[in-house]
Amino acid sequence: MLGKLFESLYYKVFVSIALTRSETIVYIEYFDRNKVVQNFEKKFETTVFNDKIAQYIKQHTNQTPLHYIALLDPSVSQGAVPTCDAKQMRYYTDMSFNKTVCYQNRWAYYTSMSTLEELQNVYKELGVDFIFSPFVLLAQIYKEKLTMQMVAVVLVEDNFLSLGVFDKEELLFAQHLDMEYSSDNDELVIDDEDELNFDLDGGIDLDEVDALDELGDLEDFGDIEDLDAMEEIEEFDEVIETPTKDKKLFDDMPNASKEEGFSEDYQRFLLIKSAVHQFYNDDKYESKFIEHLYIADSVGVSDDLKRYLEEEMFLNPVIRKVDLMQEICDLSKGELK
Amino acid sequence: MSYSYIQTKRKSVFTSEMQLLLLFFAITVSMLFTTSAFLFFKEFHFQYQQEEISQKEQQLQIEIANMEKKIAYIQEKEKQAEKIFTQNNVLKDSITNLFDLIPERITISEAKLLSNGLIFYGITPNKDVYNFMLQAPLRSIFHKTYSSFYPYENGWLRFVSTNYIKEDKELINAN
Repeated sequence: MLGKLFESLYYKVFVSIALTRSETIVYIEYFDRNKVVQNFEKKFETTVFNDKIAQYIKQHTNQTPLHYIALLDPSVSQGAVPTCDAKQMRYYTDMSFNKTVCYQNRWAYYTSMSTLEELQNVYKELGVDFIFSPFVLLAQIYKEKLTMQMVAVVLVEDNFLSLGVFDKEELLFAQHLDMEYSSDNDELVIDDEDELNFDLDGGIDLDEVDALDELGDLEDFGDIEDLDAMEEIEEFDEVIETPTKDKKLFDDMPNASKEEGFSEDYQRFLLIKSAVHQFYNDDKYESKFIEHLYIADSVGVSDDLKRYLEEEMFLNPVIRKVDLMQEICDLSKGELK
Repeated sequence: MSYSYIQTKRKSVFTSEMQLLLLFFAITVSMLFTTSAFLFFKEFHFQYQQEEISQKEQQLQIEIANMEKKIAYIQEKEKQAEKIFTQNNVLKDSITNLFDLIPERITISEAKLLSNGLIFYGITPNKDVYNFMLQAPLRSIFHKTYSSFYPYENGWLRFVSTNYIKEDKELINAN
């Protein structure tokens, strides 16, 4: 009673921290009686937590004892699995060193325990209250869409893509895709593709990899059974043709920044495509044709991504701008209810 | 429903600084209340004592008044006693004097002292002895003297001598 009375005298301060490839973004929201009083966002040109960030956050958190600090899990080794049963989880990935959280008893998301410990250790000075998975963000953003049949949702972050395929709220497939890993380790991407039986030879360059994902005739995806039966040689043939098409698109870009954006969007497209391929081809997952694709864009993707998806995967993606920091903040608020 | 990998402890507004502040407030308020309660008690006690004292004062005043009455009564009684004592002394002296008046030959059998007179019963050998030896001094003392005789055995006479002194009023009237 007395506590509630005193609580009403204070603002609640919600701090959201997210890491990009080159920056740390800090979003701070002053919240009072179900309304946002003030909000601040500051980007620090570093991905390492330092005194400057700590001081900035502290100057806000010192205003009230009711402050909550939330982090978006930056771990590469995170993901989601279509079950909450610990035994069945092993079928998808090794959970020995992972922390899993069940989402509404339907599916589970996980991350490595060492990452959680490391994050808590790094932000020990401030005290981290919540660490959220991007898959939870995705599920929250597209809460209503997930009730639909065969819907793929993607959360586009600066350095990651989180993709989930849902069928009437049941998760069928999820993958957390690392942009940096993809761009810096092309060879590895190719290896991954290799695993997916694209039958590409080692040493192929990026353009060829890009082309590989074209896979042509995506309308054939409608017939799942035919997917496995696709001729690998045909795929390879398509690969050879694609770079020309991509080059044409690339040439249309007016300046270097667009080139960079173009390249990133293309990279994202490739990642989505490879993930979709894995979903269709991997026996672990129940393959069904994806009918809808929703993209939650937190970085500002260009129309090219949509175009690639439309033209090359014959999907009709709906891109929605989201404020990632705001969404993390909303999740933090939800945790307190 | 919690979606976070880690669970936070619900934050409380009662931080250590706030707890210290509240403690000081509580101590201050409790001291104020204690002082106030002490003063209230003292005031009540004082009023009670005041009332008690005023009641005692009233009672004492009543007692003083009673005692004054008693003193006045006692003083009056003392005066009366003194008066009676004086009167008794006077009477005693008078009686002594009266008995001194009685000659040896006359025997008094009874004497009655009245407020304004004296009655003697006695035996005299004869009237003359009585008239000369007793009636004469009685007449000098009393304003009225009446004597009556009747015979007694051996030829002696019994007598009754009634003597009165005139009251002040009678004397005034007489004057």
